[in-house]
This record gives sequence, structure tokens and C-alpha cells, in this order.
Amino acid sequence: MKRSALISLLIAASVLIAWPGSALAKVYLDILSPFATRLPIAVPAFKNTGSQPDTENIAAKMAAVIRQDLDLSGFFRVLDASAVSSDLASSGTTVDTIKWDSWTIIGAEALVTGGISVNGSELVAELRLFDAVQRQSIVGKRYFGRAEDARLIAHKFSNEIFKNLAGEQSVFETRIAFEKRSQGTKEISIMDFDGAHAETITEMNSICLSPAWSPDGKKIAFTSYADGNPDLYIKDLASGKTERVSHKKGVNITPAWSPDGRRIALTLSLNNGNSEIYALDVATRNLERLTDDPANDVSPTWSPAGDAIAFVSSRSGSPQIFLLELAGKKVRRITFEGSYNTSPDWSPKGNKIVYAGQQGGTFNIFVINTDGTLFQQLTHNQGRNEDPSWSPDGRFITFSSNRSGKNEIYIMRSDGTGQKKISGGAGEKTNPAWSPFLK
Amino acid sequence: MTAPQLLTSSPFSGSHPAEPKLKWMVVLSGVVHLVAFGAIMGLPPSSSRNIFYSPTYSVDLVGLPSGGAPFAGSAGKTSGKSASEEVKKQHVKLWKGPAAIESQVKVQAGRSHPVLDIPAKEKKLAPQRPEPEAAEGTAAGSAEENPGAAGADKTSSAAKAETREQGTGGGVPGAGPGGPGGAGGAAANLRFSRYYQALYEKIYQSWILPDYVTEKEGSREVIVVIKIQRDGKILGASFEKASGNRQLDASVMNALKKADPLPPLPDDFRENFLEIGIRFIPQQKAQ
Repeated sequence: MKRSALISLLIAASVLIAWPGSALAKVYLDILSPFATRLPIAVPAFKNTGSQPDTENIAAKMAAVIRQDLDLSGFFRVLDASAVSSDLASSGTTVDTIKWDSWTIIGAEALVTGGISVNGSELVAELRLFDAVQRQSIVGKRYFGRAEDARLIAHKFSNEIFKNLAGEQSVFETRIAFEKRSQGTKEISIMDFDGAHAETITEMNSICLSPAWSPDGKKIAFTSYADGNPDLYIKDLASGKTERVSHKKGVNITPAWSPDGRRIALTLSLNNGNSEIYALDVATRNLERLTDDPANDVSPTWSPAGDAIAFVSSRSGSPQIFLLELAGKKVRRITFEGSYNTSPDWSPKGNKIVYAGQQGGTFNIFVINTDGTLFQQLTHNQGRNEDPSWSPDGRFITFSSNRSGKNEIYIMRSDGTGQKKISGGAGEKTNPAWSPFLK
Repeated sequence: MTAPQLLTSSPFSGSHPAEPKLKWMVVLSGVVHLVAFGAIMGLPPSSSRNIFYSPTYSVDLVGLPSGGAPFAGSAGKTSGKSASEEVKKQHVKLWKGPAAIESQVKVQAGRSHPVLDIPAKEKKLAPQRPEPEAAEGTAAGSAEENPGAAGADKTSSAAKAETREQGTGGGVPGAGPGGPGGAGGAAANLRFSRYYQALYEKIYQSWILPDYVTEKEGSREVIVVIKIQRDGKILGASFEKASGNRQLDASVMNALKKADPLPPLPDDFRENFLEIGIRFIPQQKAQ
């Protein structure tokens, strides 16, 4: 073995030596990319291009929103332009008027400029992204809106930046639904992914639980005790109409829309309190039973292809995460760490499942590959962390945590970095659900 | 139960499956060696190849002119084989240590490209004679130690070099006994090696490659050929091999633009321009 290895090595060496190369030698310098470099990007305060003096506030706020978005993504190093040079203040917003040398000095590779004008309640924003090294425009957009849409416009341009640089859509225009408790009731609320524009969307004067977005982002399914029994409702966000879609005896809980939006997987307890997972056809209200086991099965989540669900079952004793292939009805357990694993959510890319696992008297967020490999803990030693939900691009996870003293909604990158509280104000907030991409 | 008995009854002696195979391998090995040896002796020693200079590896891989992989990149560079007037020997060694100072570069005013000889160990700096392991090129090589003007005329870019003060960047002082330009000794070699190191550092530091680029499939390497003027200014940069990934391709061009001007060419370098390939290799985040 050793000998033949030696021989083949010799052969290889001989061949290499004898290999006829080019008559001209050209030197090649190899450069391996540095790891984890973030693109240095500058987003100086936007200019007031109109005549209304209070525009500066709006312009500053919009630039701040974009900076925050880019920073959150984890791919950018947002440069503090203001601290560097007064020269930059007079730098323009277009290729001809930007003082490029100043941006080169602070190391910007990309530059975002904006000109904002407000006329009455009407806002016009001209936002541009430049390659600050090649000194070229990458994308420019003019937005027309109301003054109160300033944040939205900024988020839209953040998305534009991300699309142009990273080649994909990001979460900057998405929202998060959650349960908000106040004075003995729990209602469903929605806020922007960064916590802005929070609004309560249900008025059931009851306990409402487990919001679930329809794949088109237009409806939210949830459970409410408004009629005494935990029934399933659907709220149409555009019309505001609420409709009860399942009120079987027992529980009608933990809804999850199928990727095609036609069905909702939910937990029912039709047989003597034993909960099983069913698929409810939204149009016909027909039910199909998906699981069948004497143990309780709850909390379904669909694979992105719609051909499988993950769910929680205590069929092996303690609650663990299982996968069910819908075609063959094959069930496979995927979590083996810990004695209480719950709240699974299947990643949009299809390869991972995030869940909450009990650990030393508290809960933390974990992620695991659907084949059971690469088990990873994302939260550590910071209160009780529950109910994780993927962002539609699979790059972020929202969850609730009581680490600040009461339950609030947090987001983090899918590797656990950048954990950040986004909700605020009164009331406990729990069970966040990240929306799909919204139009 | 004596020793010979044990030997003869060993499981290998029963059915001889291994033996013919081994014989065959020995024969094959002999043939291949003969062919290889013949090729080495028979070919004019002028065959040269692309030289990959990789200061980033920290593993010391020096030995045989190893690294089949790096040479693979030279496909498509073939030009006709060497007439004897452009005889130029190559000691191709992959220098793979972080400290450039320890290596030695031989610069020859070749047709258009410098020729490197980069032994690995410091102790080999002193002797002028080429390394024994690199023997395949030595025969013609030592004669070429002082290239003089011989080969330097054909280059598109080349005019004869005037000597200039050397100013390599990257914090490498122009130490060593500075022989007169073209003297091609160890000191000059050392200086050229330092020049590559300085180039490497300046370009590496300019290269920003966010994970959203490296995590994409199919963006494994980009080769850009740049032409450097004596004062270090980049006269041109063109893709020899683009990745097809717009962001990756843009990132390397941006790196070069930010690194421009590069350190001035060493005064030993006898031409007005240096053309060098930069192979940018994205590394994926480990996970």
C-alpha cells in the first residue's frame, strides 16, 4: 500500500516535471479572500431639496432607517460619515456633484444619497445607490408618497440596495404578527419587522393566539376563545373581515397555511381529547386527518414544497419534533437533544427547522437540519426564549423573550447573531410570526 | 510452527492475487519513469509555465515542484515551444510561507515575464546555485543568471528598463546589498519577492467580499491580468477568467482600483511594465 502510494507519487511528480508548459512564464499572485468582510457603505444625511424647513427631520430619519436596515442585514459596515469630514456635508447627490475623493478617503465602497422634498403632505424622495470605487450609479429611484410614508419609502430603497448588491430580496418591507396582552385579553397585532407601525388587528375582547400569515400575506389565521371554545378564525387584512373557519368540539389551534394557501394544517382533538393534526381545506372546509397516534400531536409547520409537515409529538414520551411525509405517511423523529422541544418552524429554504427547546428550567431557540444533523443553539442564558419564526428570506428569525423582564418580540440573524428587541410599549408580546414578502 | 512454516502458510502466499498486480505496477512504474525521464532529458529545458505565487498559505508545501492544482490554471496559456533564443529556465517552486523575506526570487528579463525561483528555506538564500531539487531547469538556467538584454526585446510592452530607486510598499525596506540592476543575485531576487509580497498585501487589504457573494454557488475564482507601470500605476486590468458573478467580478476590479497605485516596480526589473496575473479566490464562510 505504502509502496504503491510512493510509486504513484513518483509518477505524478515525473509527469509534472515533464509537463510542457507555456514558453512564457507568467506570474500569478494568489489572493484568498478575507473572511467575513462587510461592504463599507456610507449613507449621509439626505438633502432637503424642497423649501419646507421641517423636511430635514424627515430626511435624517429616512437615512437613519436605511442605515439601520443595512446594519441589521449583517453584510454591511455602515460608515459614520458625519464624523469624518465637513467636506462631505457639501457633497452632492449625483455622480457629477458627489465629492468622490472624500468618500474614497473614508473607505466607502458604496454610497447612498438622497434628496427629499416635502410639499404640504406630499413627499418626493430621490434616492440613489453608487459604486463609490468605480464612481458609477448602480440604481436610482424617485418615490412619491405622503410624508408619513417616509419610513416605508426608506425601507423600499433598502430593499432596492440589497437587491442590487446581493441579488435578492430582503425583509425590509415585511411585517411581524404577534399576540399582545392587555388587561386580561390577548389580541393579534402586527408591526413592521423593525417594530415600527404596531397596530392591533383583532377586537375579539378575548384570548387570541397563534397568528399565522397566509402565503400571500393578505390574511391571518388565529385561534380565539371569543365563543368560549378555542376556534379557528381568519382575518382578511384588506377588508378587515373576520371569519370563523373551524369550531370543532375541543381545540382548533396552532394553524399553519400550506405553501399554496389552499389548506391550513391545525390541531384538533376530536377523539376524547387526543389531539391530532388535520388539514383544513380553506374553500370547502373539508378535513383530512394527517396524524394518527395515541399520543398528542400539535403545532404543524409545512415544508416549503408542501409535501411534508413537521410537528410536535409526545409519542416517544417527551415532546419532540417529528417530520411527516404526506405522500407515504412516513414519520421520522428529528430532535433527540433535550426533553421538551416545541414550536417548530420550517425554513423557507427547506433545509432547517427552528424550534424552542427546554433547557435547565428555561427555553432557548435551536435550529437543526431536517435530516437531524447540525444541531445548533441560537440563544444562550438570556431569559426564556420561545416561539421562533423564520423571515421569508431565511436569513432572520423572530422569537419572543422575557430577558428584559417581560415578554417582548426579538429578531436575530439565522446564526443567532444580532439579537435585537424590536417591540416596545405596554403589554406582554408573544408568539411572533414573520410575514411572507409583502407587495 | 517454525518461522519458515509460518511464512509459507501466510495467507498471502496461497492464492497469489497481489503478485501479478504488483509486478504490473512495477513495470508500469518503470515505463512511466522512462518516459518521464526521456521527456525531461529530451525536451529543451525552456518549457516554462505559469508561476503561482501564493503568499497566503501558511502551510509550507515546498518540495517538489508540486502543486498540480496551481498549474491547472495555466491551461490555455500554451504557446509554441521555445525556440532556443528564448531559452529561459524555470525553477518553479510554490513559495508558501507568510514571510516573504525568507524567499528568493530570480528575476530575468524574459520575453515578457519575469521568472521566479523561489526556494523555501532561508539557508538557500546565500548560494547562487539553484536548488538541487529544481534540477530539471538548472542546466540552462545558470547560464541565464544574468539575463542581460538577450530575451527582452520581443515583448509588446517592453522597452529597456532604466534603473530607478526602488520603493516597494508594504513596509518592506529595500534591505540587502543592492546589486546593480540586472545583477540577478540573491539580493535582487529577494527584492523581487518582496515586491510580490507588497503587491499581495496592498491588493488583499483592498478586497472586500461580503458573504452574500461568497455564499452563492459557482463563484470560485477570478483571474485578472494587470499591467503595472514602473511607478506602480496600473495601466490596465482585464479578466483572464471572470466568474460570471457580477458582484464577485466587480469586487476584484474595485480591489484593484483601490490598490492603485501599486508599489513601484523594483529597479532590478528591467522592463517598463510588469504584467502579472492576480488570481482571486473567494473563501466561503466555514460552517
